[in-house]
Amino acid sequence: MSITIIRQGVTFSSFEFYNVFLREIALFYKDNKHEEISFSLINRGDSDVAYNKYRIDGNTIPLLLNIFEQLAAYQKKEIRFELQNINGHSKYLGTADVLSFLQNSNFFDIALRYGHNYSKLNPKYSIVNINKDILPQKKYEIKFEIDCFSVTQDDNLLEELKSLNDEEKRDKLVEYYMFKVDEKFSKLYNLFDDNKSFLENKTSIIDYRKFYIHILPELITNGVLHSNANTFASLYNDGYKTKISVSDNGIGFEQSMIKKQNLGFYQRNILKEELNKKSNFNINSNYLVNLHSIFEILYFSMLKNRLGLFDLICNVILKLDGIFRIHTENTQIILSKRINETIVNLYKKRKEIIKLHDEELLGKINIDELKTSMDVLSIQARDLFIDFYTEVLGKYNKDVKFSSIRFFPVRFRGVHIEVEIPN
Amino acid sequence: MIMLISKLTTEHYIYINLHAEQVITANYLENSQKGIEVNELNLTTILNVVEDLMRLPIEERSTLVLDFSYLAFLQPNIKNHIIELKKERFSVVLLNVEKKLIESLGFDSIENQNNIAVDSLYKKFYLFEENREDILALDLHIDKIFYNKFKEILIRYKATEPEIKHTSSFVYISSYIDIKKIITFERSFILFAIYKLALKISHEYLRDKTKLPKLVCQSLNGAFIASILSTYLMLDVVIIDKIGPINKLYARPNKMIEEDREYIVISDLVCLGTEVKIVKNLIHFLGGKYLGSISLIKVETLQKKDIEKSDTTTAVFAIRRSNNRELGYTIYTNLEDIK
Repeated sequence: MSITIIRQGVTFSSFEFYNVFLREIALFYKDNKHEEISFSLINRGDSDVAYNKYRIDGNTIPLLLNIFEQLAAYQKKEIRFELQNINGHSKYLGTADVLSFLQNSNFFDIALRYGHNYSKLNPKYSIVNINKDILPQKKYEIKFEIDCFSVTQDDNLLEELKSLNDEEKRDKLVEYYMFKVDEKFSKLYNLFDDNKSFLENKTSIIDYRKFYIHILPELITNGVLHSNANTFASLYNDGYKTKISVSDNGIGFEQSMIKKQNLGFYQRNILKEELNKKSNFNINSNYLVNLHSIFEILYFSMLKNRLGLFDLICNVILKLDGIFRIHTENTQIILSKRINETIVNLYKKRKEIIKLHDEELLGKINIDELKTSMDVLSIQARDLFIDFYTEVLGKYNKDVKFSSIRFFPVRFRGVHIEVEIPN
Repeated sequence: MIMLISKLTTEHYIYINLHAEQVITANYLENSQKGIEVNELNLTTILNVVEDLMRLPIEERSTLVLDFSYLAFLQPNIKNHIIELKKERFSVVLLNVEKKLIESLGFDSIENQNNIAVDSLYKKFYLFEENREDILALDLHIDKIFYNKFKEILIRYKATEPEIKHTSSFVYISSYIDIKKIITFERSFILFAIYKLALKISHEYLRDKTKLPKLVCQSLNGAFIASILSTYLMLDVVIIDKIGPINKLYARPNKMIEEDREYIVISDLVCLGTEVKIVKNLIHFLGGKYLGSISLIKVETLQKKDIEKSDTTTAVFAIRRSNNRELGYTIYTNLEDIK
């Protein structure tokens, strides 16, 4: 029996993916460890167009590609995927929109490793086995795009990275993906381009038309560099809002933090230890360990002398009024204006930290002065994160529905980030 | 070795235009196809600048002027490389830099009373706190520096022969400007000059255009300039080979000129404008619209008050009454003897 992706009348969202879809996959393997898994796009035939509506949220496309890739790697062969497109009154009525959406978004090109961009991805074989005959003609889609990124796609890049240290690699990749993202996704914004505004030198630093060029490369680089994995990124723009979804199937936050060096003022796992002491909430430790790793990575990012994930989050929430969701393994945290005060306080501390680093860089203070001040600031930052943690878990205990954290029944490898910004 | 196109070295400082360098990085190294509309400074550009400057012996390092015009964004984490220049004995002055960029670079912690932003822009931003009278007194009129460098190159590459007959007009010229040689031996400077030309075209001709004009060239040098302009401005090129100095058409312009489409004529040097007028007439005859004439160098033979707007050529260097003697460039006829 196949596992259904889109159920009639239920939008296939990230929440549905984590809560229902992954659970069904887990249940399948529990009962059929050595069986081949297969999927169907919908749960009913679509000939009865009057009653059947199938909807998919674009944010889930990176997740779907990710899970198919993981399963294909596990089975060492492509995954059977029935598109179940029954010819209705005219043709493919119920799922025509969904299929067309998947086709135009490059979903099938990536999954089938079709075209030179995707033929170098690992695994090299198609990750799905579909009936290609029923795929609709590709049309020019201006609202949604998805792409897959991996360092294996470019031999020259791989060669160039060999001689670089970690920071240099990161900067190189951010630049590389800035151009790739611009090339791939800028067409979604052409409609809103201000003609020749560059001549006036007036474009603001965080311009809604350009922010994706800063957000996506940073997130893609995190994916390909830390996790050494394929990273799937999608962008949706309908003129009113932009949705970004980036998913990798790499080692995740917990493992990647193990690789991190102590930075003098940052001691590995020190925040985690403090959070463990505060964890007198009635929550399974399997969940808390991942929540702690999210807090730890944000804390680490906040203390650094380089701009990174933490700065991106602050910019999205405070400057763009957006929402930032981070998912790792079985835990998700939702950061938005709903916790504005916390973010504002953290950002103020971050600014103090970055100012201090800048002063050291400019030779206004020496390294010892930096260290002395950072010792104080890192403790203050840690305390802010502890307060944040206590507040968030306290709210979760009171009311799960309106909490900023979500715990899901099944672990999903890698990191998934969703960003939503009003235009 | 990576070349910088905008590096102008004067007695007192080195000037580099970062946007011009970024245009080269984006369009030639990264194939971004955004032309001069790129407005983000990337790592590769700043690394190229650093690499080039580090070749200078320490004792020769003094003031460095980095122009941030047209840059609205910075790749994160590239400030270290700018600060590296400061550490490597350069006294760095930033020109035309947005206040927001200064803040994002963390340079707002530099206390220098001469760093004054007007609206959202620092015309000059000194990346040091000392009171450097010598640097404050520097003449940072870059257009003048560019003009002087252009003039110096024209003098260096002029070929003087007696009675050079201008082939498309019935006059003599005292010297011949060897643009081919300049393109060959001063390639980076010419790329910068064409970049400046592209900015002028964008300002003068491309604002609010819904249908973009095409570039028309009518000589080999013109084709070289037009092909680079086409990258900088993302415009199509039509080559009519060739009108002047040997007036013979090898291609069929009626196949190339579209009705009601606008065309900009590109030349290397417009002396008396005969070829431009021929091309203008051809465009009109075939139903196209002539938008204007663009040239690297133009000769202003009339007084400003006598030049009609429609006949004006846009150029980055003008040979005129104030500089023609210095350049050794004179137009004369047989009607009287030349001294």
